[in-house]
Amino acid sequence: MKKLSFFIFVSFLFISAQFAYAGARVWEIDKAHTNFYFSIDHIFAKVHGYFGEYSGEFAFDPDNLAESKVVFNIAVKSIDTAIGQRDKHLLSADFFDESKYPELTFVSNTITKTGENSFDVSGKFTVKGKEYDLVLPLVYAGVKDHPMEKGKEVIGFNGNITIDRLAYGVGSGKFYEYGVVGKDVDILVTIEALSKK
Amino acid sequence: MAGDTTVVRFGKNGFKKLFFFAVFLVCFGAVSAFPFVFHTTTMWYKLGVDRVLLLSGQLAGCYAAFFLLLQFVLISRFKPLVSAFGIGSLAKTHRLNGKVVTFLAVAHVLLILLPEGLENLPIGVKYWPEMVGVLLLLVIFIVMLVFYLKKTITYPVFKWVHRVLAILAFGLVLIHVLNVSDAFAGISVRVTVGIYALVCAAIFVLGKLDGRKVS
Repeated sequence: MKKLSFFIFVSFLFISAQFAYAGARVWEIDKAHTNFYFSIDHIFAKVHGYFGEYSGEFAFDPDNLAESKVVFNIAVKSIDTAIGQRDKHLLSADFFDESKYPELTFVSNTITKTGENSFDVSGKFTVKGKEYDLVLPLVYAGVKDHPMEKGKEVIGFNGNITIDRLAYGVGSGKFYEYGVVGKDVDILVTIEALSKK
Repeated sequence: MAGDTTVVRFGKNGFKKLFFFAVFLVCFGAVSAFPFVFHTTTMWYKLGVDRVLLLSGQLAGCYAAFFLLLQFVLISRFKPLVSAFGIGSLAKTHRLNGKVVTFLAVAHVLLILLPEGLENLPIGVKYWPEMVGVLLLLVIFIVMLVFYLKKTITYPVFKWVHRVLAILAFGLVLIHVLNVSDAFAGISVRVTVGIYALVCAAIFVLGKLDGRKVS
């Protein structure tokens, strides 16, 4: 009898937890089409790259922004600028110091609607072990039935932001002073996520 | 006595020696100058001590590759070389040079890696030329190990293993050198490296063919 009571109690807790989170619709990030691209000046040219490995959570409901949430943990080691030796240099203590700080994380606190299809995602951005406040502006691309996946919907967002890498401790500024590597990094966050209808 | 002059007489072998030394010195000089003339883009981002370490590492790598290919010349039993220096002297130099190559290869790896941290290792598919270098280092270590274990194995086994690994090292060093750095991207540099490798290989093959004819 005791065992049965315990089982009912645990089941109740589990079901309650599901309902508590059910406020915002949970979306499964489509890793093949969600990416973190960046570009930075190199003397006159632009160098493009991206981070290919990450994990994350995405709960979004335009009618329930209070319980919507965005979390990304990006593996610094996955940086790719198409030249291995440059990537290795970016992983060194001159820039990301990947061996000490292997992840970049972003955890949203609040999501606010700023226009018909635009949202500001405010949160904590952790770079090299330090937390910074960051507002990521995302443009809502829409939601529709996934063309290739029956029974699922797909949601999309795109966001552009420019950050000063030196303000985040990515580099000491010596290459910027030499006029070689810029300090402003243009970031494009592009998100596709799926959910059962 | 005043007015006396010392006359140095070169025999036939003396001129041969002088010629081979001159060729060696020209090649050695070219290898020594290479990292200073052909800067890699990685060098742009290295300042102070890091720059010295990277440059030293590149120099050690160039010497290691140069001496590794030279091993084939030293052990070739190529007639003109044998008549100039003697087979014993060449074999002795080959053994010493093997140790020098091993030392330089290790120094190359450490000095190249140090500026960006030993924990930041170039591992993965995109670093395949560096991975070829690791394989080459492993082959060099095994060659040295087999050399030191020579007395515990039969000579034919030693000879066979040594030859197979040496030929593997020959291929690996070329693949590594020609792909690991943008300093070797220029056609003139690639052709020069190719000619040097071909000459070393040709001398080795000619020497072995001569040896077979004699036996």
